[in-house]
Amino acid sequence: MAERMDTPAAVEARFRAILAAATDAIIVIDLHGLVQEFNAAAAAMFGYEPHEVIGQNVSMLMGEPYHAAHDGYLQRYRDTGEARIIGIGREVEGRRRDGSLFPMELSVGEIREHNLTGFVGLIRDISQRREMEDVLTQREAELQLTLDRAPMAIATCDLDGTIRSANAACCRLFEASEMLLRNTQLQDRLIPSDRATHAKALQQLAAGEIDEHQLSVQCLSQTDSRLHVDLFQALVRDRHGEPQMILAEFINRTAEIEAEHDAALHRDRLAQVGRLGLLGEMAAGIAHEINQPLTAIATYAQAIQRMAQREDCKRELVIETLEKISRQIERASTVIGRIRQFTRTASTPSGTVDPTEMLTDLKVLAEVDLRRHGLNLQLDIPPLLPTIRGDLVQLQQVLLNLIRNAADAMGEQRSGDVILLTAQAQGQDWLRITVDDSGPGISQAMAEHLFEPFFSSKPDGFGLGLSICKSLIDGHGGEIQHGTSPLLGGTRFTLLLPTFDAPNN
Amino acid sequence: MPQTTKTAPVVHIVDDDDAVRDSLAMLMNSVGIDARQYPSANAFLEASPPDTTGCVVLDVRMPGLSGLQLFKEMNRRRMSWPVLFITGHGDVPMAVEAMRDGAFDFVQKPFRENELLERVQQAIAQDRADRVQESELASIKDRLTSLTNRERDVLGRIVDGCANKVIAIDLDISQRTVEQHRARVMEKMQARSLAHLIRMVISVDAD
Repeated sequence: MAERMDTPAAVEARFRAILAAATDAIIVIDLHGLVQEFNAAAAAMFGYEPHEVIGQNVSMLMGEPYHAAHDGYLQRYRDTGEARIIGIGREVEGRRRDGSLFPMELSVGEIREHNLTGFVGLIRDISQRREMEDVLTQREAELQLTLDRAPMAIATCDLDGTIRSANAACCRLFEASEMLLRNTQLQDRLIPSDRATHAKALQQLAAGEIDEHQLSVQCLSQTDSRLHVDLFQALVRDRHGEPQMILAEFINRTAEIEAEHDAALHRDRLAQVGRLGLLGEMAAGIAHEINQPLTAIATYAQAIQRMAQREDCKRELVIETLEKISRQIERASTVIGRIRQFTRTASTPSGTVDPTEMLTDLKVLAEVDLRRHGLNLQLDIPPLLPTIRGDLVQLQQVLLNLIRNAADAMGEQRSGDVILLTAQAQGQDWLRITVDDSGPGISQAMAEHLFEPFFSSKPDGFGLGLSICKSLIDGHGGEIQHGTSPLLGGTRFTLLLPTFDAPNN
Repeated sequence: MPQTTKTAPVVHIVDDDDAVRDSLAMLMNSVGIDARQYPSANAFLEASPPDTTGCVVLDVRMPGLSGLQLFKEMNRRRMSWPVLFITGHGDVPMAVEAMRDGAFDFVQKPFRENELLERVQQAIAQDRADRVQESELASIKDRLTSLTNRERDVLGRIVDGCANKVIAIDLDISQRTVEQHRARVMEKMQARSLAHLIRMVISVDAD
C-alpha cells in the first residue's frame, strides 16, 4: 500500500486533493515568480479563475509596495539565498481581481527537487480579523469616551480596593486627577466611621460571596469637602468565574442630603416657633395651672403661720401642712417641666414613640387649655397600640393644635361638651389617630385653603397651625386628612403615621 | 329691737381644686372660722346648707356649673350669703360681670397676705348686718300686719302727706277719729316720730 501510494500518480492525486480541500489559498510559483498552481481557495479569495493566473507573474496578486518589489525579492534570494519571508510568515496586502486590496497572512515555503525549483505560498485572508480588531479598538475608544462623558462617577478597583482607573466624573467628584486617584485605596477616601462597613463589603466582593453591594457613605474630596454618596460596587469576574476586579459607581447625594437637612432644620425651627405660639395662646391656661398650686402654697403657708403661733398648735398639723405644701410645689414644677419639654428644640423624627404614653401625656397638656373652655377631652384607645416612628414633641404639637382648633370650633358656650381623641392600628404599617369635635364643621371654601400658611378662620389666628401640622406630619412620612365626624357631627381630623415595623419610606 | 344672730359664722368654700379648697378651709380655721367644702357647684346646691350667718367663697371657673352660673342660681333661689369670688388673672371680665350682678367682691389668685381673710371677715360682717336689717324688716312687717284695715288706710294717707282734715273727709269719718287712729298707728308701729314711721313704711315697700 505504501509503495502504491508513492507512485507519481498517487503523489499527484494527493497533492491535488490537498490543494482542493485547503481553506487557505495555496499558490505555487517558479523561481521567476510565474504562477504554477492556483487552488480553489485562492480563486475564491482573489476573484480570478486559475487559468487567468497560471503562467502570470504572481505580483499581479499583490498590493504595493510588494507588487513592484516582488521580482527584486526573488532575484535577491536567488543571488544571495537571503530569505526575508521564508519560514516566517508575515502580514502583507493582497490585490483582488477587482483591484480591491485586503490584508492577508502569508507564509512561504521553498520547493526543492534537487535544486530550488520554486516556492509555495499559503495565504489566509485576515480582513475579517482586522475588521474585528478595528471594531474592538473602536469600541474601546468609544467606551473610554463614554466613561469620560458619563455623568456618573465610575472607578475600577483591584480586589483589595486599590483604584486602577477613574473616569472624568469620578475625578471631578473627588476634585483630583486620575493620576492622584490611581493606586490609592478607595477606602481612604471614606470618612473613618464609614470604613469598617465598606471594608466588610469589599471582603465579601473579593471573595466572590456577593456580586454587588450598595452603601450610603460620606467621603472627603481631595480638598476635604464632605461628600454624601451612594456607592455601588459590582464584582467583575473573569471568564472562569473568578473575581477579577471591582467596578465602583458613586452617586453624589450631597446637594440632596444638604437640602433635606436644611428643610428638616427649617421645619424644626418652624415647629419650634409654632410650639411657642401655641404656648402663647395657652398662656392663660398655663398661668392657671401654675397659679392653682401657688395659691394653695401661699394659703397653706399663711394658715400654718397663724396656727403655729397658737400655744395648742400640734406638731403633726405643722408637718402635715408642710407635706401638703411640698406636694403643691411638685405639682407646679410638673407643669413647668411639661412645658419645658414641649419647647425643647432638639428633635429626632426617627426615634420611637409609644402612642399610649404620648396620648396620655398629651391629654394632661390639652386639658390645661380645655378646662378654660369648659370642655372635656375623652381619650379612647385600645390597651395595645403599635410603636411608631417619630418625634414625641412634634406629634404632641400637631395633636394639641388639632384639639385647640376643635375647642375653638365648639365655642365657649357648650360647657361639658366632649372632644374625642382615638387611636388604633390600621393594618400592619399604620397608626390612625383621630380628633373629633361637635363644631360646625369645615366649609368647602375653607377646606381648599386649610393647610396653607397664613390662612385662618379665627379673627386672632396667625394661620400657621395647620400648615405647620402638615409639614410635621409630612416629615414623619405620614398623612393628615379631614372630614366629617361620624360620631360627633363636627369635624374629624385623621392622622396616619407609619408604625415602627413599617417598611421605610 | 331685733335680736342679733350670734351663731358662729360659716364660710362655704366651693372650688374644684382640692388643694386650693383645703388650704382655704385651713386658713379659715386658723382664725377660728368654720369652713365647709364643696368640690362643685352642684355639690353645694345638693347640700343646701342651712341659712345661717356666713359667706360663700366661690371659684369663678369650675367644670360643670361655673361659679358665675352658681351665683345666678343662688340669686334665683334667694340664697342671700355675700359671695366672694376667687379668680385667676384671666378671669377679671367674668368677675366684673359677677360684681354687676351683686357679688360682694372678687379676689385674685394667688392672694396677697391677709387679703382674702380680710374680705371674708368683711363679707361675714356684711351678712350679719344684712341679717339684722332683715330681721328688723321682718319685725316692721309683723307690726304692719297688726294694724286694722282702717288704721292701714289712715297710715297710707299719713305717708302720702295728707292732713288729718283731708283724711277725715276722704274716709268720711270725724277728725277726732282720725286722730285716735293715728295715735294707735304710731303706738303699734313703735314709731318714734312721723319721719321714723314714714321710713319704716318705705323700707317695707322697697323690699
